[in-house]
Amino acid sequence: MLKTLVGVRLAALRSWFTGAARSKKTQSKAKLFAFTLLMLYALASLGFAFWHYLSVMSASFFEAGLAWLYWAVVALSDFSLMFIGTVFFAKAQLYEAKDNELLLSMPVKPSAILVSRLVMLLVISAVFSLPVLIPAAYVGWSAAAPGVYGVAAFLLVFLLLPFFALSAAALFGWLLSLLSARVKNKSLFGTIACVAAMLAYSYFIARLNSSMMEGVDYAQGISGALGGIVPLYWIGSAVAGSAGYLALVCLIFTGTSAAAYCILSVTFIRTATAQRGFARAKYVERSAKTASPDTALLRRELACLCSSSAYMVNCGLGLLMTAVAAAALVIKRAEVHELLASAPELAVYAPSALTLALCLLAAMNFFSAPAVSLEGKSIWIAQSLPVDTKRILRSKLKMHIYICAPVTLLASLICSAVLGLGAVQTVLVVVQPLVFTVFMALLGLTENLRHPNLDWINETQAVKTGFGLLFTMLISWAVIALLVLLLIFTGSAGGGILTGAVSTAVMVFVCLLMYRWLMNKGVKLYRAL
Amino acid sequence: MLKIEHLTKTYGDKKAVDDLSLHIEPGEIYGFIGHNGAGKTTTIKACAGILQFDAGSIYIDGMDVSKEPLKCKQILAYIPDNPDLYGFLSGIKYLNFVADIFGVSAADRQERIKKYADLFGLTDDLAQPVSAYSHGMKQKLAIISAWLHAPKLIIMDEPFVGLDPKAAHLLKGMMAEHCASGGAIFFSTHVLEVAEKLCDKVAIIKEGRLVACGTMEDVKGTASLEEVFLELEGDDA
Repeated sequence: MLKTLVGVRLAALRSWFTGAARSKKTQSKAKLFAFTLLMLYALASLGFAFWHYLSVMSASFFEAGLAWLYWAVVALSDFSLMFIGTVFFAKAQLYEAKDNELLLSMPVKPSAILVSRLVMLLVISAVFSLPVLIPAAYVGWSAAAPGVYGVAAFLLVFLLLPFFALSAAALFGWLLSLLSARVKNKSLFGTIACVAAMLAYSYFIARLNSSMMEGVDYAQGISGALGGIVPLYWIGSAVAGSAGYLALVCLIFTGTSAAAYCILSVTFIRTATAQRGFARAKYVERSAKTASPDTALLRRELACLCSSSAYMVNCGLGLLMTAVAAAALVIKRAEVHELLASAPELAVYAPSALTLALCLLAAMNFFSAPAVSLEGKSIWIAQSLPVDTKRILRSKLKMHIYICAPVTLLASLICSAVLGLGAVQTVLVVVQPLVFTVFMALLGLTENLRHPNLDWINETQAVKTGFGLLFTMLISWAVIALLVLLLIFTGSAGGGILTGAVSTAVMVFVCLLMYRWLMNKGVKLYRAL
Repeated sequence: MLKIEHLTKTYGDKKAVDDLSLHIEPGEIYGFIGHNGAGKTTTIKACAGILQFDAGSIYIDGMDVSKEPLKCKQILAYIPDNPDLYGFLSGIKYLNFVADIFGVSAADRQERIKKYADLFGLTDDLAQPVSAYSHGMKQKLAIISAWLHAPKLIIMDEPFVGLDPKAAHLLKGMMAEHCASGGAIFFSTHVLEVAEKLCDKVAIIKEGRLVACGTMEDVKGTASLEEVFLELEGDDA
């Protein structure tokens, strides 16, 4: 029975990512192979980023005889990635899965249902873990040969860590589920909780990174800071050579995972079948107000967005970071001016660098990317209404642009003012990120129409998985990389203004082509869904 | 009101609908019955302008669904077999959304929402998100949204599924009232007793092909509709 349930869960996981669920045909081997290559490329890219990050760190840590600190940071990075990667899935899969009641009505032990879901979440955790652990092992063992103990300790600790991370994510998801049942505006609650957690985590990592850049002396300081977080010291020491701490850490991981499992199994049925508590709103009849079809469609898109914290957080990260970046620039303006004054060659690049940074942040907004998928099984409504498909698609574009453009515009103006840019430079800094925002809206919708996923069980799947989102991310990063290369090869001529103007014009042309495609081929694809 | 001519739709190797022709006049309640997988939903979706078909024509009030889909949809309402509505909207917001798309005036929508929500006992739940509704409540909301813009033709796929007896009785009354004022209804159902009592005409589809159609008396004669249906199904029943 457990084997069957686990098989079903893993098959569902595979179909989410490959989009096989929406296709009525069996996926061809070529497609599966292409998809596998793509996933490996994405993991390799993340792994490369971690390799670079860990390489910078390891030199100073191992030199200072603080091998435990290196492994503690690896464990923290691994845990964080697994936790962030699975916490939304944990909440959705454990407590909001639509087949919970069906399975509970069958002669299936609730523990088997829970374990099958946990196994699936473990697989997801393991996938998130690989880009950290493989480079970590390579970098760490290059700096200091591990020996038999080192390899065994590494394997034991990092094989047990996913269980610990999953326990934390599952318990957090359980807590979120309980709390949100008592709250009227669940999506807002979920969004605030996630944003608060991400801001706290980002602040901690930023402090850690800035300290690491100071070199060996600060390694001592960090070791003091992290050593104060005792479990991190234990984990780091366990991998670095302490058998006593290894036993302790293994005991803690297995003990906490077992305790978490007990709590989850005891509360699973009650939490999974509890009425999704809606603080009941009282209907008060008011005079009806009319709106145009375009307004009605836009309101629908915004209502869909605001109803899902997963949608808001996963697809709106760029907005948050744009606001934080602009605020950081304002707060640190004195240091920035000092840096630019001391390095005139850098100051020349400032407008272009600012523009690219804002474009990069805009590339982290994906509101349009799951907009078609989120129609899900209710797509019949839009298809049966007397509204032109073009208007439906435009409403999805508008939703993305109307939310992102004002934030990007404001950030551009603030940053230009802080840096004291001239009029022409300011125009570039304002216009190019706005054009990129429009590009992201068009790109996301295009990829979603080409790779829709309408067969989802909860909207987290539609928002976080699928080829559409993956291609949108990869293409946007590729465009950013291209813009960076363009700037490097064309030099700082005119502060990069000419390059920026030409690249903006090209992007406008691309946007027009994409819009034309959407209004022709895109319309046909939507109607055929 | 609805004219289907030689409708054909194929999925891969399988002909879901094969050369089907039907004609529904204003004032008629037309029942559409058939076994599971016979092609009822395919036909209904094609009439609602949701599904593109391979051959044939469908005219709604003289307008070709393929050539003038928006004009056709403006005068028809469609209720699917599974009312998957926008869970993120409240009941009232969903109704207002539909009303905005159809351009229903403020006065009309207010009057109709109140009338039908009170009729179905859904008024107190209009402020709740649709995701909190039971299947029956969603079905009621879908029915209200269909009547909201006073369509000429209402196309329904198994509309009685999930409705409590009172709501089913109310729906039958609404259907009769709609047709008495010149509208038409085309609906599929597995509940043959309802079809027998309610419908002016009936069509029976088997494996994509029409095997019987006409007035209820013409189709069933002195037998019951169930007997006729089972006989037409033959050894496959």
